[in-house]
Amino acid sequence: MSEFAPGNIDEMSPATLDAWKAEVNALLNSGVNAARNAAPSQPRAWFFNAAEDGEAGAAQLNVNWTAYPKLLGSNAADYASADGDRRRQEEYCEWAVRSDASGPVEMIFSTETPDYYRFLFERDQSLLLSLYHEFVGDHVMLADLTDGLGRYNVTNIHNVPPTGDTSGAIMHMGGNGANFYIAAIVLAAQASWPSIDSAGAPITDEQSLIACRQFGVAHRHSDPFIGGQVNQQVRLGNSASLGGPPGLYIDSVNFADITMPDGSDPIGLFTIQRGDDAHIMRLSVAVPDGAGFQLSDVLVRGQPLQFGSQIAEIMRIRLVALARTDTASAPSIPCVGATPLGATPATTGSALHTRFS
Amino acid sequence: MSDFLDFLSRRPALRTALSLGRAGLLDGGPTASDPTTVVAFVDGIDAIPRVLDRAELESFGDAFSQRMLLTGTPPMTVRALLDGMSALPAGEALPVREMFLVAEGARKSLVNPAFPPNARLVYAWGKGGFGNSDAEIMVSTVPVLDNPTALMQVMAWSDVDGSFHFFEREGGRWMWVGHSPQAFDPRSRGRGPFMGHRNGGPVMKELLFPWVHWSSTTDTLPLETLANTDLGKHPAMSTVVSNAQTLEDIVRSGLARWTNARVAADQGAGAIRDPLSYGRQIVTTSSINLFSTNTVLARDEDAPLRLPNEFFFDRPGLKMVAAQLGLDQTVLDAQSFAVERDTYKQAAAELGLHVLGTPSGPRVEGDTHFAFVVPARAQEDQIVLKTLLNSRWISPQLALAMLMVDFSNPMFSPKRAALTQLFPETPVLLGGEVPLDAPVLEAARNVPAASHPAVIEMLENLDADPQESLDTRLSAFGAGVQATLSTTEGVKNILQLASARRTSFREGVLRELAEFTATMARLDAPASPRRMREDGTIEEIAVG
Repeated sequence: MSEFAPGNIDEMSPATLDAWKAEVNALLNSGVNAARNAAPSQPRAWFFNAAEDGEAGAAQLNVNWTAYPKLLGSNAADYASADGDRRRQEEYCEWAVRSDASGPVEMIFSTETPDYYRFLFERDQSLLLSLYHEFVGDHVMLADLTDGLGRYNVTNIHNVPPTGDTSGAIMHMGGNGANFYIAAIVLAAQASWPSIDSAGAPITDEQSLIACRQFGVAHRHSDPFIGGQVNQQVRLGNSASLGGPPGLYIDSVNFADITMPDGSDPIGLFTIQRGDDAHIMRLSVAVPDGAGFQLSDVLVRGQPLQFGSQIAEIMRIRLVALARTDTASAPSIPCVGATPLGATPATTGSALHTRFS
Repeated sequence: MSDFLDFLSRRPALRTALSLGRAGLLDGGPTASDPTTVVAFVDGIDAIPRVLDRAELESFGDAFSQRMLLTGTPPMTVRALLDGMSALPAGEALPVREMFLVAEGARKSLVNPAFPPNARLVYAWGKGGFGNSDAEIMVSTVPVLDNPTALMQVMAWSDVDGSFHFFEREGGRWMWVGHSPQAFDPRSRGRGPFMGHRNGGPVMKELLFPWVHWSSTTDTLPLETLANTDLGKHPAMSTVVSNAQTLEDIVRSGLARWTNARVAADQGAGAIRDPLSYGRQIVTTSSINLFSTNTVLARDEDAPLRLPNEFFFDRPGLKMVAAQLGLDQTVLDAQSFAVERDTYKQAAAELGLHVLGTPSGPRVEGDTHFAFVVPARAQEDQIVLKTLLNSRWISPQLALAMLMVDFSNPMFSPKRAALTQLFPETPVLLGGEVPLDAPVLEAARNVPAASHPAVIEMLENLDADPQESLDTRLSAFGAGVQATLSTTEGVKNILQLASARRTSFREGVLRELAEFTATMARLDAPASPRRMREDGTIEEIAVG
């Protein structure tokens, strides 16, 4: 990796940045280990550590997907459900809505991973607190961010307020316990093994692959797609990793789905609060001062904008994966866990024999 | 191999020349000695190709002419095009390039190696920037780098005239085959590129989730099935395939761009110059998109199939007008149509559901990769409706009244299509509120329209309480449909209705979009024409 700071943000001291580089290195090594552990009889893995090896010669895959949960529908009840419970925001993007008596006032979207903030708690609490003060409020105290064991609390009250809160407070992801960078690394690593079903046929579709390799969560947009993309590249003769700068980013919002009440450009609603133009980590949606209308006067796909979910539905999240030509082709290995398509279920005994032989 | 490259079905200029018995037409004539010359041939307007002089080509102002055709060395192969676009100087470069892959047969070829993958690529180049999904140039081609006769078609946006310009590379030269406004010119409507691009904008049939047949978030197409192509042999034709959901954003953005330009042009002229062109997009099936379940039947899962709502009623359109009227959408949102997996499989097996690679085979039993691919109301029509409502050219009350005519048949409804007779064929002046309402309603109350069943129903819909009418009719319809879906016989009826609509699509004016046999499944015995009643049951339609 040539770029290590999340979103290319220049906020860490040199010492902190060095420590963060070591942290990223450790996270990606965890990925390599996860790949090795998925096939312990193999001499090596086809998931590499891009922080150690660098990205030179690797093709970049911009893996993107919808921020709105796949399980939910395009209706007010489901929008409210996702807005009201951060645990439902499971596509590596979380959001919070600040409201007043007139309705939604600001919607904030974050793809910042808890990995970084947990790191800052260990290495630079001054920076951590200053970020909370800037983006949540001056009232945040360090003690509020600490759990009973003195560790960083990812779901502290200022990052994941109680249900029904209308303050719009959010610092980073973590309301859904799977939205960690390490989770994305591990699922990509576990998915990196070309796989065959019990009939010996190659597995090439994502849902069968996720059942076979048992990574991530099948009902999401993100996990099966990340795994499918990585797995395809390894099947084509590459090894894979995740690229820098480390993290997940807001890739796009489709402005064609937004109708402004004054006919203005929807860009006026959006403010990048953290990250650069190509690596947006925190995005605010609000009506500019003096515009003369409210968020609910804006139409998204023909419907008044009342929920952050409606923006999430037209927003794409991006993770960068890497594919590097390998000198050796990865072997195809049998599945673990549930019997996938096409396999004739064996008796328990022979299935165990197959798995551990 | 030639079928794979040629895609004759979507090369209207070449087909026209061949049908006129002038196969040599495109190679002969005054341009034969200068393959860099660009010719014009707008089917229905031009009798034969004519040379485009530089001034006319410059006047188009589109992104492709400016960057590729006016250079003096237009690209004759995909490789030349990709290299040329990569070599553009900083001021002309379009920094965002995406490559999308569609292959109806890719998954089936894993089951039967004789099944043709039918792979095509779509390239899109844009300026990028947050929120900007516009593509300035889009290319439809095949994954072959160096063949000078393989499919290569371009549409490019022009800020000068606010339209897309269409180009084809035929007979060793580039041919301009029209631009968006000519989709509505009676001479060229439905001809040339406008056989597929019926309303002049970009087309992606499988536009919405789960983007069946495309490599996307829901299905990373196995590139092993394309081993005999040039994928991976050029930096811009690599194995890194963009997510088709991004193409959805690009196409929707392009449709909005063209629709806004149409409306702006009329606003500039002070009149809706062609009201019928808008009316068609409200009440007829002017184009289609293909919808499907998100279910792969071959996977061993228990979850029921959720059939696309859009097959049963125009949910997006009704939600749009309901929002404009401030109606409660709880009943609209509650309508959901599910069928037990085993029931669907049983019904499909009894009807001999299968997918063909070509009209003569091979045949794979069962459904497409994502089950139940069916035509439904096109997004380009929804975008026009949205724009007309937001521009206050038509009232939501009238729009709702029209959409609710024969609402249980959101596609190919002759009854609702008859409402086109109410839209004037002469310009309607702008300046007041909802300028389309008055002439439409006046026509509705005059003979002979007033006695037409569709007009009578439309006027009844107008008089009804919209909330109560919507809720009552949709609730009853939804319950009726779910009852139909609860039995194998009922699901067979649904599959036959789907078959009938697929046939209407394949054999009607939109047939160019149905060119590939593997796009949709078929029954052993194609169903006769039929329609769905408002009680959720299905009846055959007497023909003749």
